Amino acid sequence: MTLNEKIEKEPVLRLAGLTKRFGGIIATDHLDFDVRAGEIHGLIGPNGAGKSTLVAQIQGNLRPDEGSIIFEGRDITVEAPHRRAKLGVARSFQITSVFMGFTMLANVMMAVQAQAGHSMWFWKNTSMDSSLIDPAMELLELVGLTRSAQALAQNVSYGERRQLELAMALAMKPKLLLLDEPMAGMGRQDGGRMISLLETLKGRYSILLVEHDMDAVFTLSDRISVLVAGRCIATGSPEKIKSDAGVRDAYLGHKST
Amino acid sequence: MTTGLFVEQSLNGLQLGVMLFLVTAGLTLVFGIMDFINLAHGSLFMFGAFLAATFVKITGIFWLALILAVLATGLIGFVMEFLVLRRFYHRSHLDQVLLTFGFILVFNDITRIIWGSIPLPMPLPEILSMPVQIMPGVMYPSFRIAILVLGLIVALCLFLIIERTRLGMWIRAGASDRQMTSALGVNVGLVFTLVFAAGAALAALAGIMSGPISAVQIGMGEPILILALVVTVIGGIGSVKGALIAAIMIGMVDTFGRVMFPPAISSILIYLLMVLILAFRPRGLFPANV
Amino acid sequence: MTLSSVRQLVVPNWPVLLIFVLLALAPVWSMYGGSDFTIRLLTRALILALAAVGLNFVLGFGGLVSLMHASFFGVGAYTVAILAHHDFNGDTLFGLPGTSNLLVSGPAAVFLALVFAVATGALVLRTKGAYFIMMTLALNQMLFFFMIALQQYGGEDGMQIYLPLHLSGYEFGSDSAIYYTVLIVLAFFVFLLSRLVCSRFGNVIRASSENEERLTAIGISPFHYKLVAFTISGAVTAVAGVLWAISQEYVSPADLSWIRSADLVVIAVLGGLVRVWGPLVGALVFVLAEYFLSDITVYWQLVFGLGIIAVVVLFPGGMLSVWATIRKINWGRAHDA
Repeated sequence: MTLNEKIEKEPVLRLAGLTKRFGGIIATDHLDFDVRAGEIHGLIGPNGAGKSTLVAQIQGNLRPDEGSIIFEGRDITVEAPHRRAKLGVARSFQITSVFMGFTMLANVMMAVQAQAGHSMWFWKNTSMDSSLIDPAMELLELVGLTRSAQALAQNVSYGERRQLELAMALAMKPKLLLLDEPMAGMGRQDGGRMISLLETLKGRYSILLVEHDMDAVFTLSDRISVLVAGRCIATGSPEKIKSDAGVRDAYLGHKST
Repeated sequence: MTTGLFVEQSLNGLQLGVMLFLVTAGLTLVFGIMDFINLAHGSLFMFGAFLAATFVKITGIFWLALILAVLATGLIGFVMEFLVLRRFYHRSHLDQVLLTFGFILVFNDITRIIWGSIPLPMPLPEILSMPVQIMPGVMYPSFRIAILVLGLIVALCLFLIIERTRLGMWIRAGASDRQMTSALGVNVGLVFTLVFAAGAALAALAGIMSGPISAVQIGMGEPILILALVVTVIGGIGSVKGALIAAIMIGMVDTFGRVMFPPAISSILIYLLMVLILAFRPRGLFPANV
Repeated sequence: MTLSSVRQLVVPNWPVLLIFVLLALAPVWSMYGGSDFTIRLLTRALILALAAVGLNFVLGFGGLVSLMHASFFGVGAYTVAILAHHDFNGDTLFGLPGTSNLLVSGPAAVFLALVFAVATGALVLRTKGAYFIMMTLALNQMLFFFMIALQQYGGEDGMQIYLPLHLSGYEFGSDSAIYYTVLIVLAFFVFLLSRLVCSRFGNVIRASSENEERLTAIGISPFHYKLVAFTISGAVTAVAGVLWAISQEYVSPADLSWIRSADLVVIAVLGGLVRVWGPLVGALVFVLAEYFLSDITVYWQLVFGLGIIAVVVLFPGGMLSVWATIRKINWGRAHDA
């Protein structure tokens, strides 16, 4: 095996024996799991399977009890969340979390600024700073928000705010994108737009996609993992997951009842 | 330091601690349960003292006046909570600060209108005005002993109510997780009104106790409010147990500090203690919200 | 209406220029018809305005309800007064001679305020919400009781500054000279902070008051930024304290009691929180209300307190929604068009 192949084989994210308990409840149970470079890895599972807890551990808001998180070959298990963000772990939140009193543009500019790493600048007026505005406008265009760039985040629709979350995550030039239910609470139309948006990102970013919308997950994902009670019961291509008897019992069958 | 002085100062410190606990109990629960910051808590302390002094004059019976003043202040607390404060639980801390600061200004001037600007004396019953000998050669004012005993009894009762009864369980649950508690079907609104009124009554009791030691005067509640905040922060917001331990600790440190150190150091001793404790335990000694 | 929705308008614009021009003309007006008293009253308002401008940087933009800004004010005022006191006595402080030269004592005051702000900020900024408010209040009173305990500097009675304060020989000859000095310093800091809130650093501070979780997720840990902001804020308020010592020639513990801290919060809120120069309006309203109310009744605090309560009760969005309502009345139509 050459060095190059070895690097390619090393996944962007690898979880080894990850465990998180809350009192007597095990939210994450000795989980082994990886996200490969350039893939969309779907993560599904019934409510309470520990999906959001897992995302929080990867992002760093929660500290695991056991196991390790390897990001690009580097152990980040105990790194602070803002340090992980600097390394390239970006997250969109399940419950929308943006700067509500900022304009859409200012939101993305904030993320661009954070990525650039020059935040102890005290003098230059950012509302005329093209090194922030230009990339931010590009991202707004990418997610289809050009028209509402000057609107305050608290005044736009829910769907637009979810798109904004994505633009902010992309502004960080992420090496790993954690999307926690990007379609949650969206109508058909907005949801459809989000799916085609994510499709354009396919291959360009390594994405961990947590989503309840089965159609979306099976359309978008290269691989899917099924999480039940904090354990990964199956990983594989969408076709393989569809035909997996264990998954049907534990999850898909559960859903149809 | 002689043994006699040591005993005397220990009693003084314990007494200050007990008084601080009575003031802090209501404050810390209000913080813990409703996340409400009440700067006007010291005004209730002041009302207690003024009302008691007036009732003594009217009735001539100290103990009756004490009970009346405590009940009246509890009623004031009840009305305050019921009419105004309950609208502010979901407002920003800034609004709460402004509101209760406004109350302080209003209460101070109301007190000035009713009682004038001259400090009032707090007449004591005959039985409490004689010093008693607590050990050979050491005399100690009997009212201070009475205050200490009464304070300890009330503190103990309060502690048992909070730790051992169903009502106390609700209050503790509310202080650690408000949403969960209301989801369990506890009427948090009612519990809170009761807690606030009781907290006001306890602050009044503390105010009456301090009356004979310091003067009954306008603004007497403000230094106490600050000490109560320090106790709350050290004990951990929402924790009655923490408040008890922190109050005794502050009472002792403050009292002995004044004897042992020059004023420049003793005046900031308790704040240094607060800083030191928070450096190691940022959420206080017994944080209720985990 | 929330606090943040009008937060975009942070750049000083024509109203503030108008206010500054009017204020610059005030001494001229007072020569014909007004009095020295008017100038002293306005000086007091401008100094409180500067103190609240400093506070408002963390309160209005950073969302930090600090009740310890009077202590920074006190550090500024007392440093100047204490150095002047040793100059008068001709003795030394920690081996250093005293001075009445503001070019020495002014920077010394600001330096001490910076040190005090960094030390206290590092402690209080680890806490949030009610905890933060209580900690700042307690630390304010720590300095208050400390100054009362220092008998050599007047204790509870405060201390008079006997020698004239000067700038390397230049003495402030009149009330107007002091007034203009204060006005220029205020204008300078309003300009400085207006730049600051629009900078990248200012963005981080505003973002941290909006949503700290989000800020962390995009890779910025707010703590150090908030500490820098808190320190700048404390230093600006300390400069106001220095000006206070110059204009009053007297300092007392009352200048740094927590009541003064709360006054500064009220002034910032009266100014609407969202503009750097807002506290200037707040301070003028505050000082004039204080003056006229105390003229009418000795119980003016009652009226003032009721006013504060009424505003917070009737306008759930705080003073800001009062301003917003006024703004709508005036410019709403133009806005819709």
